[in-house]
Amino acid sequence: MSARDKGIRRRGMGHGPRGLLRGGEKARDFKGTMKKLISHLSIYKISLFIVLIFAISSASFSIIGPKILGKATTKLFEGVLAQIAGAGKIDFGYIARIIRILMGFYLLSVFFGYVQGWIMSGISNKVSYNFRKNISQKINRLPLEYFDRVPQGEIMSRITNDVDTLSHTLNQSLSQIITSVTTVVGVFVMLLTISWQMTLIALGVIPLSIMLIMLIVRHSQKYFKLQQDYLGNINGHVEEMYGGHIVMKAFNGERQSMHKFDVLNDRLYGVAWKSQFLSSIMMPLMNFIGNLGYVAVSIMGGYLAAKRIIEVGDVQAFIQYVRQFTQPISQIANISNILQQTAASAERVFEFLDEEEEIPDTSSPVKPGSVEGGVKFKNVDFGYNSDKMVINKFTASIKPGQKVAIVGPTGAG
Amino acid sequence: MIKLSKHLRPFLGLILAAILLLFIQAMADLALPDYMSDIVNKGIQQGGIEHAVPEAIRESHMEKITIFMSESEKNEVMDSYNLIDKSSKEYSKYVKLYPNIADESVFVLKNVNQPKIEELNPILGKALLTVSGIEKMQAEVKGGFIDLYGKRIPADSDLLSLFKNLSEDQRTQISEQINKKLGDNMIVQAAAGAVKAEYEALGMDTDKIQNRYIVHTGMIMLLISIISAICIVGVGFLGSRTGAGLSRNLRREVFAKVQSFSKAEMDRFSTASLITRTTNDITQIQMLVVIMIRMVFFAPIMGFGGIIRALDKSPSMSWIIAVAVMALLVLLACVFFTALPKFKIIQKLVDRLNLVARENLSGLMVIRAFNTQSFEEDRFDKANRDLTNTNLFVNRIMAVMFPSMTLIMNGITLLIVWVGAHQIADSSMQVGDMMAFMQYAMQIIFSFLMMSFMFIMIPRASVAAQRIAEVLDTKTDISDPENPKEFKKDLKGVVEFKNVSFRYNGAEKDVLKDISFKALPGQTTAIIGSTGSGKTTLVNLIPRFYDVTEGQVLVDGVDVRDIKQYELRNKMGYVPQQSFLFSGTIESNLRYANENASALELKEASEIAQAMEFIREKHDGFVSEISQGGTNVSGGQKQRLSIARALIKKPEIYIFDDSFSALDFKTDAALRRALKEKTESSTIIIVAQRVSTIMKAEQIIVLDEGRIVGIGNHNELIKNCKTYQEIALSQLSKEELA
Repeated sequence: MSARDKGIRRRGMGHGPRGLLRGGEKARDFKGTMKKLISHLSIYKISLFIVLIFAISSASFSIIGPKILGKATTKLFEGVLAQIAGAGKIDFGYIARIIRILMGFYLLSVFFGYVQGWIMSGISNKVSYNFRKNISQKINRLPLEYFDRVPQGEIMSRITNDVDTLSHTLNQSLSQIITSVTTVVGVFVMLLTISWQMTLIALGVIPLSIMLIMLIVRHSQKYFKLQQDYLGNINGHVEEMYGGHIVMKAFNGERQSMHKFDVLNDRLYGVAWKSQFLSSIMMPLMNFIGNLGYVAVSIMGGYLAAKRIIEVGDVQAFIQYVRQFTQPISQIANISNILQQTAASAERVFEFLDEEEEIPDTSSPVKPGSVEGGVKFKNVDFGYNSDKMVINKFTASIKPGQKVAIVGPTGAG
Repeated sequence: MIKLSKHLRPFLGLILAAILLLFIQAMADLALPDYMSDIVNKGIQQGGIEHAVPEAIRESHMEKITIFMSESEKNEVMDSYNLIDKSSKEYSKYVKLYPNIADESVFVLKNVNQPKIEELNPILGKALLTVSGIEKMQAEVKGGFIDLYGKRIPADSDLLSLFKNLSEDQRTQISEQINKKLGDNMIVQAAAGAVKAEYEALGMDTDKIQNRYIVHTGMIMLLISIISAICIVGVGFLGSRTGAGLSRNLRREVFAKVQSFSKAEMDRFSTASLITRTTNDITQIQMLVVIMIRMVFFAPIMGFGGIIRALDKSPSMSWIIAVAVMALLVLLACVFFTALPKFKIIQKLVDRLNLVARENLSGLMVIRAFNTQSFEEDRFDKANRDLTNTNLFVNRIMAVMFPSMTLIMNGITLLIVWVGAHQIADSSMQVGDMMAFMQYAMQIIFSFLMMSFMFIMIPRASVAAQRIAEVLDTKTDISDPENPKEFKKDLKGVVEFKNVSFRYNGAEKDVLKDISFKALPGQTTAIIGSTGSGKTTLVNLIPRFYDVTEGQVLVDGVDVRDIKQYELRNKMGYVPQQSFLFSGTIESNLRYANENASALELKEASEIAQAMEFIREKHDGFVSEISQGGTNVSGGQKQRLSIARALIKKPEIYIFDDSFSALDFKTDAALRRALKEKTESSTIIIVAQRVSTIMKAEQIIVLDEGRIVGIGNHNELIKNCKTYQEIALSQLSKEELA
């Protein structure tokens, strides 16, 4: 139960930006584990390279969009002005051409994005399949002594939770990271090609959003940890009282138990709502930052467009870019968390796979001619641990057809 | 979920406040594109000039434009303006605003309201446009003559005075011909240029007007963003208070309910499942409530608000929104109909994989002994392969979804530009409106996306809610009587069974059948019988862990069902079959029976229970830690501590349910001897397996398949009870029995 609980709790930490607020676990040897994981993935290096190229292409094609669409809007705006002045018409041919080009770009972006996703899910599923397979085979090669030491739940959690986390990171987070980085870089370049003054203004919101994220994360992690601790306390009390239900009843312990529960429950409530509060305003506040960027772009863009320094279409493109910017930034801010989580899971899996194995069957086994069933012990010593021997110098010979009984008190071996 | 909705009642105020804030936030978010469109339309395109009614007009120009107005229109316009010249007392104020007032008198707009402006817009707009149109023709003249609708007029003639002399009908005709290219909507847009020219003629800084307009609108946007942010924080606060508060109340209620459960109800749900319901399920509810408060209300407000705004911008483009939403819904429906059933299958396959792995682990010894490793590996491999394949399928479907969603949104943007361009050409909307329309379309699409995610969230929440409601809706079998009776004062610890039969809920056969006996103070009553004969069930009826099916259990002459459970159990010291210690210390566990026990009483009880010896050996003595479930003490020690706990209560009735099993013979004997000495006046009821434990009991009840097959002392039973003889002979030698 408790092992399963732990699993659920760990899973509850979630992935994506939410995980950021929870402060995941850390691997002991981050670098070593990552190296091992990378060498483990190196058999897929060609596929991974294709994924990288395709993810970048997919993001790039979709990033170019707003800038080109902006040209259409500018043309439209100029056409309107001309129309008002009675000096011309809207150039529909030009606009139609731009729309056709963009449609092509967007389709290419979807195609690359989809192929990338297809390959990546293939890799991640193959990797998790192999991890699970290796673990299951490993179970059969480990000495029995290992299982006395490590609880079943822990091994189970490696097969399920840890492999799941790995698979999830590979499948989504990895392409997300590539896409986010490409988007941020690409959008930045696009912004610069349109107007460096506007870029400065639009990016002014980034330090602000990073500061805000840091502030929330710091508090959130504190309350989240407290919440988990208090939740642990209350769960402990619940487990204990339900487990000892009869004894509690027999000794009229209801009131005492309820009192303790209330104290724990109120204490949990005190931090639970704060933790919940901080994690629930994270995304909407990022939206607010996006709105600030939007307002800044509208004012500044309006000013510059009125001065004819930039075009109306550029303002539109800027608005679209600024809206695209906030999400990948919070994803990039989360990269180290995702990597830590991955490393922690990978470390546990590798740890298990590297566990010392039972001495394998001898490579040149003696072929018994015909098995008659004679069993002979010759000076056998045995202990589960080397400091505590259970069997000392045991010698016995049992001939085929004999029935031998072994008698002794409990714990005699 | 509905079942739990009544628990939301205390939070109704918070939820309503949250909805209000969400409404404000949605309105604020929806207002932003509108202002952005103002910046583009009025700020950039119209140079910051909002309408066709200039705030000031030179007298000479006013004269020109009034030519193209009817008499009533002219009066209306003149009513709205004051003529200011050097002699006016406000001259000094206006000269700063309109520097050229120094050269010429100026008409200044009175303080008129918005409807008046709307009314004046077409009148002044058309007139201004006509004048500027004529002036333009004059300026662009070629060959010294103007071709004015078939008449050749010399370019240097005073056109305006010429028009002045025409009839009103003719003037209207000319004005209409100049403005015919422009729709009504475009009058203001087009006239903005003429107004701007007039302002320049007045010596005003038109750039400043433009910048002021843009910054002013921007500031409003900023203010709206801040309002929206305040709402966000407010909703987060209210939502979290609701979620955490609801889960606190639910958790308390579930816990209190489970505490009131009888043993039968505990068995029905199983302890593990009840723990999950009290902990995980409730935490789930908390998270889901917070998310749902935000989404359930926000998405529809945003979606429908967006649709209204978009229709306002351009009703004829509403079909694009419908196309977008339809395309999105079709995509989501396709994905979910193919993927959702697979999600259920994945859960099953994960369970299967876990099962195989768990079996592999727990059957390790057997697997190695029978050399079936490769068989097990194949079994695991099959489960693993199935899971991987299904996972891969779902992942690949999901890989289609996100790029396709982006494609829909991008496609919609292109469609808006194309259709919008035509609308703009027809002058039924402006460029800024089109840009705003794009953003509304995105907002609508996102809110529909949110709504469809809700359909995934709600079933998830309802599973957890269902499990909680099941616990809360359970009627407890055992509850205190409405009119509780008192124990008879003259009796102290008499337990009597009268024709008691008992059957577990839903079972086909009685576990106990027609049991009658009486256990008296100062005596030991032992119950013996083979496994499954109903011994434990029988003693569980005394503290009312279960209620009898037929007959009566009387304690001190009163039916146990007529007494408060608290009073009843206060009389008893119960030692369960499975010893259970709470986390804490040895002392806190002993004091569980009686908080006010003295140190001497603790010691005495431990002495009798033969626990003193190992307590003394412990470094911390009575304050030694006991971990949860008592895992850090041995089985025998646990049993002795739980006996000591019962002794500290000094009850009238002791119930030992097979409580000596983990003790060796020596300790068992010593404990019974000490017990006999110290508990002279109490009723002792012992369930036992070992005949040696109960040989000396005053009364032995022999159970077989739920019936009493013998009652009496050892010597009587050994002579005339066959079942007892069989049990005794299997454990003791003939000599011991004698």
